[in-house]
Amino acid sequence: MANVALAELREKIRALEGGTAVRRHRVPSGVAGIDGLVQGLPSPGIVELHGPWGGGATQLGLELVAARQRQHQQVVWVDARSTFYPPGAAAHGVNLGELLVVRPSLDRVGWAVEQLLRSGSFPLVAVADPPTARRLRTGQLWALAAEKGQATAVVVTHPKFGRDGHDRAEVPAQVRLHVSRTDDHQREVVVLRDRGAGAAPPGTRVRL
Amino acid sequence: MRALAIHLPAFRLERCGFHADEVAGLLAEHKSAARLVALTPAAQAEGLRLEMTAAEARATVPDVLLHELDADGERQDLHEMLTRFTALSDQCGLFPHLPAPPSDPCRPVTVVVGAHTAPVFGGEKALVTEARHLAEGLGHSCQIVLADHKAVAAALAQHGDDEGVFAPGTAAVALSHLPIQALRWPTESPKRRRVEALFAALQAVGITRVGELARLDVASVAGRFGEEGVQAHRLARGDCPAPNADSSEPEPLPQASVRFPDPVSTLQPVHFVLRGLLAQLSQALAARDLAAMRLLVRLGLERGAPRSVWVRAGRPTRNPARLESLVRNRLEGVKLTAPIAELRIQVDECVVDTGWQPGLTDRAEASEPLPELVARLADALGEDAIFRPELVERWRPESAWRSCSAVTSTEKNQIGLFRPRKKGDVDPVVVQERWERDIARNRPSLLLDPPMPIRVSQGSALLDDRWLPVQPLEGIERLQGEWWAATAFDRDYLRARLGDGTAWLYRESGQWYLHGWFD
Repeated sequence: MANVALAELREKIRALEGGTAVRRHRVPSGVAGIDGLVQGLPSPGIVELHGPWGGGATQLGLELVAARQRQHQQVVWVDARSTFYPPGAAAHGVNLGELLVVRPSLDRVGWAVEQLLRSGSFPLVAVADPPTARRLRTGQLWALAAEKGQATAVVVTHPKFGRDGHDRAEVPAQVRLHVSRTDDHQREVVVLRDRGAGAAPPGTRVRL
Repeated sequence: MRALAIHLPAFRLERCGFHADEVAGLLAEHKSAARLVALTPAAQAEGLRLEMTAAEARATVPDVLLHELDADGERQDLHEMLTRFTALSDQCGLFPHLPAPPSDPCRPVTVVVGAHTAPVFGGEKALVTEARHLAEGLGHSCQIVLADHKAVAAALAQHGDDEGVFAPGTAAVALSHLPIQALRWPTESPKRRRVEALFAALQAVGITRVGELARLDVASVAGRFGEEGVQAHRLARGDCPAPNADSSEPEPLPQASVRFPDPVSTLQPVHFVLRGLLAQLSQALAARDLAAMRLLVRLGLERGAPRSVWVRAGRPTRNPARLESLVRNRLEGVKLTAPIAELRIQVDECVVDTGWQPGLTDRAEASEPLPELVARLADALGEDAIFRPELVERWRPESAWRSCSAVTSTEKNQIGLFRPRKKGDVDPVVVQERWERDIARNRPSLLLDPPMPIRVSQGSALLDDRWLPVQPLEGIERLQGEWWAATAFDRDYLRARLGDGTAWLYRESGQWYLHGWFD
């Protein structure tokens, strides 16, 4: 009893001092293959889905969004390149009626994502092809904002390409996955990075 | 302001020389026949009804006196009569009726006159007498009431049994026994529908007399019946500015301003005075039971044109602390070209304050309510940058969806993202299921708009300065349409492996395009 009271007091003192330890944990993603691969999504935290154009990274992002919607959670999709296609998203199970889409200008993407993560209104903020995070110094801000809002950012990135070219976003992701298509047109997800307890070693892969 | 209402219940027939005791009616061409459009009370008593044809009327009452409606003549007579009544006051006009006429076949006319000229005629009673002489001199029977406000006077003249002068402050008592429909005020679409819905709702809950409405608490009326309900309630209590929106000036929305003795170059002094100004606004809103939806912040500069900034509240509020937070946040991003000489804040949009409660799916971790977050982002990024997508049945792929604003408006009074469905809305689940079943089978997750022209040659495509092999996977799907317009399209779509990914390509007029990625 005394121990419980002391623990509560410590927690309150930490809160008053502004030094509350961030409680990180993994939440089930709702996509069976991903949960088996990396034991869910870090919350708060950042997940990066990287892969070639047409490789299936966006599709995986949409499936994560749809899974959260099935749990009656509010989700937002930040469409940095104005390429989000609602009929395609609907085909992947996204409930468009309860999806908020934000299309900021490229120079406001970092700020918009930070606001959405920090607000705490959205447990999952999906960001498609943000501009180079390093240049905008937004990566760290996103991480802090995700901690404040207890949110997960799913960042979909692609290699530089044509007029939509951009470098891969340097976001401080706890989990970085590579998504591509195999010769038999299946999607393959490979762990590039996974930080945390019970992390999957790089190179672990699964077919979806 | 006190006003005189002169109600002429049988103006249309009396101007044609008919008396209320005569069995008479007016005919007009309608639905390919001459039909009754106006009747005297005596004709109604004989069983004649509106919309009857002339033949049916004569068959029912052979001696009926029928006169063809002269619409132009009626308008001229009305104008002439109003001109005569201007002898009573410079403020003279018609008090419009609801456009739907069927409830009253005589189509009455009510003239309202400002009573501020009463001393000229020797008092209010003398003014009433003078008005009666004028009306009867023109051959019209009338019911005349002088009361605190023209809407009250008109309601008493149209629906009450008593006439004459009602002393100041007695309007509520005089109105209390009238049927609730007496409060119905004229208005144009689309408000008309809301007003009619209000009175239907009042009757549905058993409120049939004006006095019953007046006894209700204003907060409960506002919560249940909205802005129109509050207007009706004020009228019922006889203490309102008239809800007669068609003929009266709307009351200006609250505003507050401060002029700096010396123009300021930083926002700190602005923040200093902000709380006081917003407290003033809040009090003004509370006095009218309103809540702000949008504020206009106007910064008067020492040089050049003033800078205006709109601040959305996201959800109705008159809480000064919340408004201050929103305004401060918005002003942070404003770049000024000169020192600020004046700060003016005015309410740009408001609604009746009906309170607010969080949504069922709102998170406990949220540091600010979702509507406010959306409003703040819309202010910073532009209203079009935040939306809720909705599928549209169009064959042209880039037109197969549309964006619905997610920003709060006074019409919706809530975030568009989770707005409740209205009657007539197509069930979005049905639309989505249809798309999933019929059309969206093989649509890409990313769409390039406009499509990117690419060179294709011998099974390879030039993309990003590299020749990549193209391996068809599915197709060809022909999409064509809008042949009647200059935007006609005729495309052969192909789902193909392109490099390491799956692309959506199409060919039109011999040219290949990359339209999207099955990413």
